[in-house]
Amino acid sequence: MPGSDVAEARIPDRGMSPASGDDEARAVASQLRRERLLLLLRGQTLGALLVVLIVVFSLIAPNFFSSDTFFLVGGVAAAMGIMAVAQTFLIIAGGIDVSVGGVVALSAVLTGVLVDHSVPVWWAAAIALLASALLGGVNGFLAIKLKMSPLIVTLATLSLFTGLAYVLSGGDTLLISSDSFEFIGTGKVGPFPFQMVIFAVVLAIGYFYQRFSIHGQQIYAIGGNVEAARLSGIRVDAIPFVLYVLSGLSAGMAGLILTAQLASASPDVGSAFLLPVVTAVVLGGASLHGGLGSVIGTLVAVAILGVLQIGLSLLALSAYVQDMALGIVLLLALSLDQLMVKERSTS
Amino acid sequence: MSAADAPVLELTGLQKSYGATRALVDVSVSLGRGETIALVGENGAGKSTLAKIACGLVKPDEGTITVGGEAMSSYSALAAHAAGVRIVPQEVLLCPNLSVAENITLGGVPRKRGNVIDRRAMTEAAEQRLADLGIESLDVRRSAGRLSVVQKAVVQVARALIPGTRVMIVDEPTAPMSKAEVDELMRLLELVSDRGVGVLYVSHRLDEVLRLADRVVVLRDGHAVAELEAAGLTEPQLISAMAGGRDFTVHATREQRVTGEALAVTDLQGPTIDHLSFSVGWGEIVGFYGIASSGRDDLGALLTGVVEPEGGEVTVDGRSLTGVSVRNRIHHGIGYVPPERSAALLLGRSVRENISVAMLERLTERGLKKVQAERELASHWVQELSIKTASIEAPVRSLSGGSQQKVLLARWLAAGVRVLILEEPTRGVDIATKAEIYRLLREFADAGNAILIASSDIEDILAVADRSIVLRDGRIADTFQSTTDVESLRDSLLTAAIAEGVEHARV
Ligand SMILES: Nc1ncnc2c1ncn2[C@@H]1O[C@H](COP(=O)(O)OP(=O)(O)OP(=O)(O)O)[C@@H](O)[C@H]1O
Ligand SMILES: [Mg+2]
Repeated sequence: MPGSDVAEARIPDRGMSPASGDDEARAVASQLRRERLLLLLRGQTLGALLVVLIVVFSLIAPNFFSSDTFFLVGGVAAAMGIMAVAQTFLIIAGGIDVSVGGVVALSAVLTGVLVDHSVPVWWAAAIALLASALLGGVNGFLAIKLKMSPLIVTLATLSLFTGLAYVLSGGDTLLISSDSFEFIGTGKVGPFPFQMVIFAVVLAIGYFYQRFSIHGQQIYAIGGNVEAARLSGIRVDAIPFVLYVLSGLSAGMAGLILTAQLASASPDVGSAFLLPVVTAVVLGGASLHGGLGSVIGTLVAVAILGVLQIGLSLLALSAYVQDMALGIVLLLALSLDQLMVKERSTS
Repeated sequence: MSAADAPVLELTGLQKSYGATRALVDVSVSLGRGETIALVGENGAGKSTLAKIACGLVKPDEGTITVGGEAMSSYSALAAHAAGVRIVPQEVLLCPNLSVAENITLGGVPRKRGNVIDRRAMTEAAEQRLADLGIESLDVRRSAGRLSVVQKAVVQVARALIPGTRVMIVDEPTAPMSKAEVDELMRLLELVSDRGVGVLYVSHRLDEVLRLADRVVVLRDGHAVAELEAAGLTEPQLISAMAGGRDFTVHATREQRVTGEALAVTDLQGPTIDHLSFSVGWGEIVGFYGIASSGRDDLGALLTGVVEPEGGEVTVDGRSLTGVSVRNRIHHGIGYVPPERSAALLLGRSVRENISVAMLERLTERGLKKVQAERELASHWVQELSIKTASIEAPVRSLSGGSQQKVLLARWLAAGVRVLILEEPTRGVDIATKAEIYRLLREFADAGNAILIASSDIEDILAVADRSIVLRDGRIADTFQSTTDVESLRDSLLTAAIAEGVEHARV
């Protein structure tokens, strides 16, 4: 059979047809351009929202537009951002970890208790980090090996870890006085708060990992279609397990940062992180069905949440009004996004 | 026996039961280097189960698996992949969120130093593998979720072609493919087996089987009932081995009484449809045939409103459908079986729910579902269409591919729609079931209902259509009445479907 005839005959549909020529090629090209544009726009709705928020707060809150605010936002966003980067990968892979608040509390309390028992503070911190990673591993084991729903598993462990933190500390706040340790929470590198530097490093690693590493792509594959990934020889159990461990580790880091900031360990620190971490990741474009999301999207979302928090508190609104404003902005952001990307590919 | 002569894949004494269903009963297959074994049998015979066991996706209850002479003690998909066993599965398994290139190279991503992806090499490798398949102009940067059914199949085949392959299992890859694509795939599999890869080929198309296979293993109800040398084997012999004495010849043309216009389409326009007008009468079956870019693929979605038409009007029984939601079209009496069945089935839900889902409102009394009536309805249709399932409560996901297709058909027959639009109604369906589906469709039309079939399988059109419309470039190329001279009708359809100068396309 002459090869050229076969090529002529195979006209499966738009995307593949060679014969009907330029029109087809142009159609495909324009389709591609549209997909790209939509993706770009998706990123930019968020970016635009961030800019609008900054402009609005600058106008109505006199002290808002300053480098101080920048560092303030960076400071509050760092702990959440570190966790959000790890959570981004987990959610892309089709998992979720809502127990981070509990791990934050445990990591803080554990450090405090160990220091109380005169363990050197850096040793205590290292042990707390290790324990946090272990707790992440527990989540991973339950969700993956025992095939339990990750949402339920981590809701349960959230309750467990938080309770444990209160039991360990007896509900007390434990003081930690160590200048070198406090540097993590209050120190500066040049003008930058040290915690912001940690966040930047985590972010850079995460970005590189997502964009360029083979594991990065495999995570998308697992979230996109786990059976397809399995058949391609991808470790569909081991990779998400590591992501749970990393999520635990990131929460441990956040716990240390907050402890250092306050120079004391309290089981209450975790409560602020019940939902914002997952919120940031989803706002940043990840899908709870898995397969979608990006570190940069998460970064922008974390910045939006940080700006909102600082901006609203500069306006001296009551905490309840702040909560309402936060909810409204989130709904606005998500619906805008949905409008822009109405024709996203169905999975 | 030296290692080189050892079978690349040896399955011995495989047993697999799902509850009361015995999917495989003591089946053994030994695949040599460069050998091609075809696996045939009717829907639910156990072919896919065997394929899944061979590639580590399913653990057998009993039996041993040897790859390249090495007994695999703990066999998993990971171990299978590492040992060089690849599968092109029956249902599309792609990552819709990744690009074509990423999907194709999923099992072996080209890397620079460390773990860094080499994107350029990835694109080139993907393009190269598509070129091996004779596909040149599929843009590998497109996202896989947006491909057509055929394109997805091609991507899956391309993905299995990575270096290090010893065994290639192909489970009905050609169901959605055109003749030309099938030819390319055959050529490719021959090439692969020439290089020493063992091929396990599952298909309902016996011409393919006879052409490709060295040996044919026939499965029936989980038993390997025959193992035949392919040389000298004929289709009728093979059919009788599969059927075990049953008869499934397709009925001759029927007496038809068309009364009035059921479906009228005027000036319909869509992405690939160009000012199309036609009508289908009550009691009539109209078949649409054409190559894949002819507009045949898009017709059903446009008629049912799944894709918004760019212009024109569709009326059912004199009532216009313009502006009617997809949901309300059911109330106008339209049922739609789309080409990709996984898109229409609730895979995780039971057979019962899948059958009753389109008529729940009628099964409801004062806000409560009539549970008993629903069960009876489901049982009735399971029996009527002889759907092979452990029970009506089994999830549809657990059914074999062909049985899933029947569930979809049952849904609309049960809902009592009067106009049925079907695309690829017999994709992945065995010969016996095909004949059954044809019979059901005829009965449905004889009862005064209207049917529109769009299919890439010319047998569908020849077997049931009273009138065949051939599409080319989105327009009607020609129309034929059914006749007893099937062969000349076949020729006419084929000729009309293909533009001048192109000889090899069938679809
Ligand atoms: N996961 C499962 N749970 C329950 N039953 C199953 C499952 N998988 C397969 N079965 C049953 O095992 C039998 C064999 O199914 P299998 O998919 O192997 O058939 P097949 O020969 O591939 O058919 P087809 O030609 O329709 O694809 C069927 O009766 C099916 O319902
Ligand atoms: Mg099958």
